[in-house]
Amino acid sequence: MAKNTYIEDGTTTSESYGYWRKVFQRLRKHHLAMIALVILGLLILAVILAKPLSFGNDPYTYIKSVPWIARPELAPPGPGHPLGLDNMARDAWSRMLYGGRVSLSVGFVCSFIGASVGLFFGLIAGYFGGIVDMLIMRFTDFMLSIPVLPIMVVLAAVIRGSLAAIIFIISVFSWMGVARLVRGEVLSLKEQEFTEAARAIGEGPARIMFIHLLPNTMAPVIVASTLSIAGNIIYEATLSFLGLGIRQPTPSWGNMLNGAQTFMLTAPWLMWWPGIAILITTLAFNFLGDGLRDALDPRLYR
Amino acid sequence: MEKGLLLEIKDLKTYFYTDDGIVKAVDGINLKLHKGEVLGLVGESGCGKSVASLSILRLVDQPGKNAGGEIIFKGEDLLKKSEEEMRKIRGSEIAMIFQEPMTALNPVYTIGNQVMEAILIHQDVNEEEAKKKTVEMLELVGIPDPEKRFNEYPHEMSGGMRQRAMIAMAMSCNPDLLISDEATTALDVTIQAQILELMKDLQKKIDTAILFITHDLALVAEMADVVAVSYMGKIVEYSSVKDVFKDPRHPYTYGLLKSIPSLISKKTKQPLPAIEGMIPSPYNMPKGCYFHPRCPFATDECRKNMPELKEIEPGHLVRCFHPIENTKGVSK
Repeated sequence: MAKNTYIEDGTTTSESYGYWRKVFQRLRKHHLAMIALVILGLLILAVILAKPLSFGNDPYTYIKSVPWIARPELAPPGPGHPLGLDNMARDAWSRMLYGGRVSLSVGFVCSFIGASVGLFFGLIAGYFGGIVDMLIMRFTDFMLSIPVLPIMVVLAAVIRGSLAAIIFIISVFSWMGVARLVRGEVLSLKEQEFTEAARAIGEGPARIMFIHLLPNTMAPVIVASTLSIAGNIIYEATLSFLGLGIRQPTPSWGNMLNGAQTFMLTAPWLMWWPGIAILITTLAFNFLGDGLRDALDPRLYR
Repeated sequence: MEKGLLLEIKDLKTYFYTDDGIVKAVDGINLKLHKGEVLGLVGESGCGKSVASLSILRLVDQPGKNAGGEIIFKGEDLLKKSEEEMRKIRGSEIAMIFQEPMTALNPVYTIGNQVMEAILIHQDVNEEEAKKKTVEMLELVGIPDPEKRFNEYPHEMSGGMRQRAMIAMAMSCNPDLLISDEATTALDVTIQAQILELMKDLQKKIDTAILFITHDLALVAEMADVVAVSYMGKIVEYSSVKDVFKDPRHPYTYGLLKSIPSLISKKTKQPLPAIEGMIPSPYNMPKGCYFHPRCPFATDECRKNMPELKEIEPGHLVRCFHPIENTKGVSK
């Protein structure tokens, strides 16, 4: 056969687009998701560049005095301190930036752990079926039926909050959705012939699960974990707001709110900004998740 | 052991134990396949052809279970092997081509990667050599521009090309036995002819035996040396391809052959002959010969007892109490 002849479908494939490129093209049409993506990009950039963006302030230093007001505690915004000082005379703007580091990383890390654990359980339950499936899925149902917040509060009170402890506590409650999702996907995927074909060329269960089935479940998992980042940020903020999360002096958006609530009337600006930051971030993750849901439509595969 | 005997299936039974009862999908079949031979396994949908092929590879899923028999492959019983040993045989010594080229390839990997996988699992080669071998295989199965096609995803290829890739995957380790489970059913006639040509070609080159499963009698006539006609999990007629087509003895085979429409038939005004009735429900099989409710020659004996598979002429086995005599000339 001559080279460079394209028989049957007549298409040349030299310019074929990659899957992810197609996904991005779709995502670009989703305006809210694109706005969300830009906002999240800026936020992530800001918390990474927290030090140079802090105007030489440090989130842990007590400021001795500011020129525009007698006492530095709860000082309103002024030159060099765009968001003012908190009740212990620390620069609120730099605490916002460093607090964002904590809040965003808790969101990302917990979602990542949750997705990994969920993927693992979901794959095993779906692939092996039978008693294994029954045990894992009933455990998942059990975890889902627990009222999360009270248990988290109790756990946080017992373990007492280092960053790792908070991440652990939130992760424990964030894998069930993905596990269910992946199990469902695997149940349908393993009936498809490519799974049988993989077995027919002599592949073992581990290889089939992690090499063949796992990548096929990625699209819904990406959507679910993007959406769960928002939830996890709220959980962190809630725990910190209740004084059980990230502990002073380490800043997080949640414990900044906690510190500010006492002075809600005298220094309201202290609670606006962390509140707005949480609101914008969670909204952005939700919009991005929605956009991804459309862009990663499984029909694209075909 | 007979000379050149590759696969001998003795009284193989695969039953499905469902809540509604036991389905005997494969009910005591006997087959022999010699080196380099093509055995056609024919029958209508639901008669256990695919289950038989999956049983050979031991890939039948729950609630299906082997209920007896032996599968002697190269002198060893596959049913006695461990799962580990079976995995080594699958793909390297016995390979399989599936019905649906659209779904038999994983959508998230390139064609090349998937063909390469079979080579990497079974052969002691590094990635570079495996890649070279893969490109060779793709070229061998007639995929144009194999270097470039190596990096394409299944959705970028047509059905025929995908089936070629599946064949490349199956043949990449030079298997002794290739099971083709309705491999051309999902393709249109022209592509079907190309794929069959390719399979015949490769069979000659690599000297593979083929278990050719289909419901299409024309394909069997084209491809097979020996034909086994199966009805409800049992072989009803077993003979060389010439005998089955020229001289069918079982009423079922006779009915099947008569119901093939012919372009050159003179009696065009007559309706196409069909086998009366429907295949029985697998949960409620008729007593005696499974075919008797649809058989025009059934007698009381047929209604009571299941006939044995008897050799009525040398090399021509029929499971019937009253094999049809003198059917010569039923098909061209």
